[in-house]
Amino acid sequence: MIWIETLSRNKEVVARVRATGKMATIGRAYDNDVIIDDPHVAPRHMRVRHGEDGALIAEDLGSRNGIQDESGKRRHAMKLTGDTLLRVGQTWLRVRDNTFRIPAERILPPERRLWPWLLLALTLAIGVRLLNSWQTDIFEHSDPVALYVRPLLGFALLASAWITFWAVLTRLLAGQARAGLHAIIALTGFAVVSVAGSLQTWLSFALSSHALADYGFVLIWLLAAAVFHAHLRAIGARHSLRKAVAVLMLALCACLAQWLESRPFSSEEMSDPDFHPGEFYPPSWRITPPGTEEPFFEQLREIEPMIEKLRKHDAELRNTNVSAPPKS
Amino acid sequence: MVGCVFPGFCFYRLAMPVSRACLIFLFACLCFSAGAALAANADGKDRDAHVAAPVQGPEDAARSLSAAAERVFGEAQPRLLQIRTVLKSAQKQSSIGSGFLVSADGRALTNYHVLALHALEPDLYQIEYRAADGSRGSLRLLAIDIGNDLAVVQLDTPPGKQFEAFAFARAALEGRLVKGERLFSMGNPLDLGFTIVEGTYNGLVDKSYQARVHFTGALNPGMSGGPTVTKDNHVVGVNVARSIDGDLVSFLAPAEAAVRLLEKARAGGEMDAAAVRREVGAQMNAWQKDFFAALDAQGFRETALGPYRVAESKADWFNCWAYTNRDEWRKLRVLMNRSSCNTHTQLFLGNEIYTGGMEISHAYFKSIDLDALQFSRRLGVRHPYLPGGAGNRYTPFRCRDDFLASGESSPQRPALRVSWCARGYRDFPGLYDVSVVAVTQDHDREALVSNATLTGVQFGNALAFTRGFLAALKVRRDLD
Repeated sequence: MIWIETLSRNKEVVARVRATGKMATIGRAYDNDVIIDDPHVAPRHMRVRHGEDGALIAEDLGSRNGIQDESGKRRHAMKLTGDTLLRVGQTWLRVRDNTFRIPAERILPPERRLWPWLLLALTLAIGVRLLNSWQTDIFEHSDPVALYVRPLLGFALLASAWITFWAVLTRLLAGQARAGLHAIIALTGFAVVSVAGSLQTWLSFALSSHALADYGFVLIWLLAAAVFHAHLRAIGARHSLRKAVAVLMLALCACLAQWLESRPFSSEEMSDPDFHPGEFYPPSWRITPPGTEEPFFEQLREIEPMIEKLRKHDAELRNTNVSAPPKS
Repeated sequence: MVGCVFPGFCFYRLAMPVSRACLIFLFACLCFSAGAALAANADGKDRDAHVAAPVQGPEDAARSLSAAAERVFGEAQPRLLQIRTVLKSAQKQSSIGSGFLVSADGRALTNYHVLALHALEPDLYQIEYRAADGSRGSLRLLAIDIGNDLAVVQLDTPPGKQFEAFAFARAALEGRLVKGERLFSMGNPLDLGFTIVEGTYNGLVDKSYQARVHFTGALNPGMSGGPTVTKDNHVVGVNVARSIDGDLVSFLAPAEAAVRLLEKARAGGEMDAAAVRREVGAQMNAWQKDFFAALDAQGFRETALGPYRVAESKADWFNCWAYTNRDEWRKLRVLMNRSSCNTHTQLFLGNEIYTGGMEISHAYFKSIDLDALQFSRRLGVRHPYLPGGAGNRYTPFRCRDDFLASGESSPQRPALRVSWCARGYRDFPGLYDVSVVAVTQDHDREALVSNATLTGVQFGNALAFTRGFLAALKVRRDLD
């Protein structure tokens, strides 16, 4: 008994045909054992038979396009193991006989209960969102509805849209929506990225670290990339590495964009592009002790030549402008 | 408005109402430029007839004063000038002021701010005069005095030998003028024609670092640089500015400064743009050196704001104002008491360049129902303070920010977070605008936010000032 399987481009089985004879012919014509509706396939394209050692052999029956192996090389005849892929025209085929060994039966996994995790993620996300609102609730004229309720509703809308997008995509590609899993990933991801952002500003304060204040966004984008990757993995676990690389590239693009945004390269800017004083936190939240005066004044002294350089640069620009004065 | 409105120095501040101090002291230069004309109300008919004149009856008094003004104006008119700054490419005026002849060979006095556009950009602007008899011609710049806002110019065609120039009032030079003396101010307000205005001498302005004569009379835009004279037609001062908050509160550059500048002009030749920039830079450097010396000489007094102590200058030319938000909200979340001091020493250097000012403010914040984190967020909202101004006149700011340990420059100094920014003047090497903000870091729900902004200072002076400023911030919590 010979099974001829037609595969999609992603090498998933599309159709499976059983040939009961010792030999199976494949082609476009109706006198074949297996008919392939591919205009690049000959009416009688190829056949499959058992060789003398019992292994399956594919043979070209004189078609114009022939048989190609997985690497694209044209073969007149080729020996087939159960995993060999071959191409006729634009169609991928795989041939197995009844002796093909399949893996043992997998144990059914225990039923996964998603909802406790979903509830936890939801609580976490709402908690973080409310905490962010609370931090900006600092003025006498603060309006609780505008500060707490409206952002929460906006967040709910945005999160729903995000989760729906991934669920629909997963349904299209993997056959089932996995909305619960995407919701857990999205909500936890939001909470983690948000907390990491606060942690970054706090640490840059607590450690007096300008580097952390200036470049901490790289960490945030990497975390965002990890969340993205988790969504992609929820669609399917295949090509996990390739997805990770793609997501990482996107994160790097985002980092570059943010870096360019935060450092305007025009000297016409009135403010200091390198100056990000960072956030304020309560003094008792410091970790390292504050610095001493002398190094600070040393930094201030360095500003004088910097400004002088800017001034000279401007003076040169002015001179080139003045060399062609407007005619009066 | 080209070189015309002279705000008391309001800096843009985040989330803060416009400082009351700024609203109270607004000065306007009296040069007149495009756009200001419509605001003019040339209602000069409403003469004050109730002038004290004990010997004569009211009608006689009015007649005699009127006769004096007629005579003064009649004598002075041939020597008055209108001075126009003309945009070369359009051949149209950009600003208008006044001036007056002080020598037969064609020297005239006016304000620096009347000529500032030309002084800094002679390729773009030229200066011209128009005399009362309709004659006109061009002017050359001979000398400037930034501190007193004065300039000496030379007419291209001298008026001739028979001409009698303005002389200076000896009484004014010797400081013998008394308050209440009747003065006459002349100029060309709002381009309406030469005008005479009566007013009174009110001595030198109290609480002013710069010597300024307080003249009570209606000076208007366009009269900048015109003379204010006694009834003998002797010059007491040069019209400079008026307060736009008060009525008839006007200011003159003193005659003494004008005489000094004329002497200087005799020694020097014509000034080109490079010479003007050099001179402005040199004068500003000298000016701020004197200013800091005077500041040190006056000394400081300690003032309390909550548990914090700050130093305030004893100099009476600091105008200080206090503000609290205690009465602003029904339910206060953070109490804020602020004290801010301003020198009002701004000098006009050119279009949108004001310099030589110092503003110091200390604000005490105490949380009433905000948590420590929320309170720190509220402090962060007020950061940083930077002086404004046209971008093309300055380099960009360069800033540094750091945390400084407590007790370093003085034993009672709390830990501080300090942000420091400076920018340079594109045309004047060696001059900087500097702003420093220090936020105390000794308490989670209480803080002092101190800010000092200096304009037109040398870098070394700014650093030395910063050291003193930080060392003077103290905390005495044991007293609570």
